[in-house]
Amino acid sequence: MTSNGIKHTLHRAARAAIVLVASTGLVLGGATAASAESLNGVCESGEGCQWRLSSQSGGVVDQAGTISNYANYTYRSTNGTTNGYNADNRASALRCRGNSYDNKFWQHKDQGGWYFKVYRGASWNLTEYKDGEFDNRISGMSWYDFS
Amino acid sequence: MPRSSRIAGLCTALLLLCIVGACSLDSAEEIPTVETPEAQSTIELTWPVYQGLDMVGFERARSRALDALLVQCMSRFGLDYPAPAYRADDSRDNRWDHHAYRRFGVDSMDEASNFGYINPSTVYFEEQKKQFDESVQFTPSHDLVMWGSEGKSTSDVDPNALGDDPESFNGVAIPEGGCIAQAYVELEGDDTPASMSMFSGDPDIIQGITLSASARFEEDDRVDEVNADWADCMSGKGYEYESWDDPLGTFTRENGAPTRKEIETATADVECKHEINLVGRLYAIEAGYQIKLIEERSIEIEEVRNWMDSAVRRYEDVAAG
Repeated sequence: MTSNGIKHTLHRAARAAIVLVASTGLVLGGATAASAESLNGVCESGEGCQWRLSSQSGGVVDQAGTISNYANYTYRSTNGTTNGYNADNRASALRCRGNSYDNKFWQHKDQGGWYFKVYRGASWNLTEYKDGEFDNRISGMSWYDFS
Repeated sequence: MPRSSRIAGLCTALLLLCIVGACSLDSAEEIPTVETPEAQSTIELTWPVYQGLDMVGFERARSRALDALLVQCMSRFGLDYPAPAYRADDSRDNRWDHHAYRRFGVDSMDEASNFGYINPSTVYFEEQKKQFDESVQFTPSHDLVMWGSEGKSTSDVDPNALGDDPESFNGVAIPEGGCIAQAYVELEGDDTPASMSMFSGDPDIIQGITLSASARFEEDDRVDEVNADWADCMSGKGYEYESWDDPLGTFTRENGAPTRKEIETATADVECKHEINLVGRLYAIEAGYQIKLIEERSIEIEEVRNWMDSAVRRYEDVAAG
């Protein structure tokens, strides 16, 4: 298949996915069905996670789907209840527990700007990285793979 | 080629870039000035730190090798690991793999007119992941063995497989951090530069330079000038914003699909970006900061470049079994 052919196929697939989301009434950026239970306050396998504070503390947003806008989320305690802190521009630790997929954590909503690639299994403290230059600056999350 | 020669080569290449006029040193800030390219989309351009690097090829080879090791490790515990099926290399040639995709937001008229500000790559991969997750059986036992103590509570795992030792499964000791940590240990071997180690706790040096340059770029007054030109253009079309990232996240979607208003705004946005060469101008500013950072860490970067070639070959061998 040519490069243009692939591009067309991917484009069509993304469009089909949006139509699917629209027709089933699911909100884009919300949770998807997966083995992990999103937003239960525990970062489980199959999820991309960000914490409010460093060393994976202060509440977590654990999500198996994508997040186009962290402003729509609050941090969860380990019992799954919200702790009231909005998650937008308020992440100090990142973790990818995808079993086959990696994460991108984006600067801006709608997954734009610069991003942190967090490979499966990796976890980072943003408070310590580059003197905290990127602490509290994440607004979106997505998945990707190389297959 | 000896390492010293390759380092000299990298420095010479950067110097030549300046000599031919594509770059010059600003003596006041000591930030190289890069000639502004004409570009409609970031995917037409390559960041200096990525020049000559097949980062996607490297990441893909590592991911494939990781999956091969996970299959082996999980099988030692009597568990099937459902590794994804990898397509031929050339079938990954698409805009969504580009390292600077969406760096300055939507810049494709095709994407704006179909998806508004929605990043279609994220929708595509989310759907792929969802289908993959639903198609495989990843049990609590898989979780425990793959992720070690971080895996789910052992109370969910088949008690017959656990035995008396909580650190083992089916009589086999679980590696610290599970199969995934063990696989990275095996992949890294003894020669992985610290700046590329998965255990460093930080992003790799290539990503680190990209991020640091982005942070310095944001404080550059020239960025404000570009944004002002874009805002003027948008105002002329009836949209009031101050910078290209302002519209992001501001639209309410109808069951996930962009509204007509979002698509109209996004297409006007892309028209203005193209009209004022926003991508080319912002690229030139940010690339200057990257070149400065590359100069400061040229020895480390060259070490990584040299290592990557051999690492990819090793990863390919691992994947081939």
